[in-house]
Amino acid sequence: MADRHSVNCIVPPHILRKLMDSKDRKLREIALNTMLASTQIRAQRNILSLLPNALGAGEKRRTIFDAKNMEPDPPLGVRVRGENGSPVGDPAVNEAFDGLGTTYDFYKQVLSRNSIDGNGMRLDAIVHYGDSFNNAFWNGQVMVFGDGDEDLFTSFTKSLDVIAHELTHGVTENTAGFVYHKQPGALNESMSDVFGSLVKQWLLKQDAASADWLIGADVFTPGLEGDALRSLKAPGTAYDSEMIGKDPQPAHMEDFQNLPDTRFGDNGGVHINSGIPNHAFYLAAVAIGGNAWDATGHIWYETLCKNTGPDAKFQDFADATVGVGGRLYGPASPEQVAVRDAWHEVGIEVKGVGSIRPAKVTTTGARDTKGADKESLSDLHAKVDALARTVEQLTKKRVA
Amino acid sequence: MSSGEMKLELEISGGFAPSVTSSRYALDVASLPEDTRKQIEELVKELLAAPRSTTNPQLRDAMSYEVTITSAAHKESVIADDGGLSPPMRDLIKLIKSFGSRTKR
Repeated sequence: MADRHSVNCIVPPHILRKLMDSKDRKLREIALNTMLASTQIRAQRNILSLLPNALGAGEKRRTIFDAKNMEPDPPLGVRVRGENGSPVGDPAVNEAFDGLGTTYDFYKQVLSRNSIDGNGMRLDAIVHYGDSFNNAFWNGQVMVFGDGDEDLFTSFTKSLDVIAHELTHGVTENTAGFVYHKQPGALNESMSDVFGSLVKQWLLKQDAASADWLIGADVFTPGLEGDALRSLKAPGTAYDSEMIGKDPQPAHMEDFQNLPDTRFGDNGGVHINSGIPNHAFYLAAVAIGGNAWDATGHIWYETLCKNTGPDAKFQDFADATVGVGGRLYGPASPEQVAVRDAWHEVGIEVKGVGSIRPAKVTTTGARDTKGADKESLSDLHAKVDALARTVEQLTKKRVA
Repeated sequence: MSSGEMKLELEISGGFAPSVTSSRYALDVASLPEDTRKQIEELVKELLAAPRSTTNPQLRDAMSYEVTITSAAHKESVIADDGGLSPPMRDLIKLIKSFGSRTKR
């Protein structure tokens, strides 16, 4: 494996010194640039650490760095815009800055979450990473965006849902922490697609019925046949082109792809099988109606934060969303039934809610609660929670 | 390792859209002009001499790159991810993409 370091570390000085001694002028130049950039980042971090109250809790703290088409390890760059800085002449910088801001605002205003870690974590992004770099990624600390090769992709900062997708990887890391393999990995990817799409819908004020539900629609070059990279509405249809093939995402468990859990198998198909939970979210949102970030978004977010864990599989997550739907909106509520039915439509039968009335919610949102069982699993959950609180209070009184 | 008998393969996988960006390249170094062959030979030496370390488990949507160097007596692969490419690996990838033939997208 090539030299690889945690993002929190600087490349060991002995390696940089060795490169500085290289006969290759280009290597020496790269080493020097890396050392300069590292020094700059260290200095910035040192200064920021001395000013913990420079920005109050709950405020956006965005910083955009320019990698100047290099690929430093760890990803570094020259600081080009900070939270109070004015727009600059570089569109990628402003797109990243605005995209991070919109995503922050969405999480804060819609889901009452203060940044990635829930505690006002600063948002750092690097633009112009690499030479014609066809990717965007999250490295645990920083969002990194390439310019694209203008053959397949344009700049990855052009798509708000891509920016929100990457930021949501940080949110997932700080909540459920889905491991990045197989089904939990596909849930990890799905969370990023779902909330990536919701951020865009929220900004555009689109309801579930009018949204395009596409991911990466703005990063494809105009000449490429295809709408986007992924579609939550119709997984497997985002693109179909001689140049890049066909969108391989399944929309149903019958088409689940068992891929090897290797780098070259997409860690067990994390970007492929995410089509299934993506589609479940879409179906639930459309069935419930209105803005997808309201009921459906809250059910998914509550599940992500409090009701699932790192090794969850689709079934576990589906069970949890239905449970949360009942807790938030009531047993056999249209919301809970819609979520249950959405999972059914993608081939996942939710366990433990057999008492929910099986009727589907209509697209007009009409509710028929006849036959709803008051002792549903959700009710029992609520009772257990209440009992736990009572026991805790009694214990405290006894200790006092 | 003599570059004259060397073959290089590059497999790119992963990324934000792996089904679009995954690709594979092959390069027969013997077919290249002498100066390019020498450049590749130097880069391969540097790459194989560079320290190997672990991957960053927090990476999400990163692309992975596997360069396989094959000669008559030797075969070795080096794997790295976005954000972790050493300079010789990065330069070698550029050369393979420029001079090699794409065998799969």
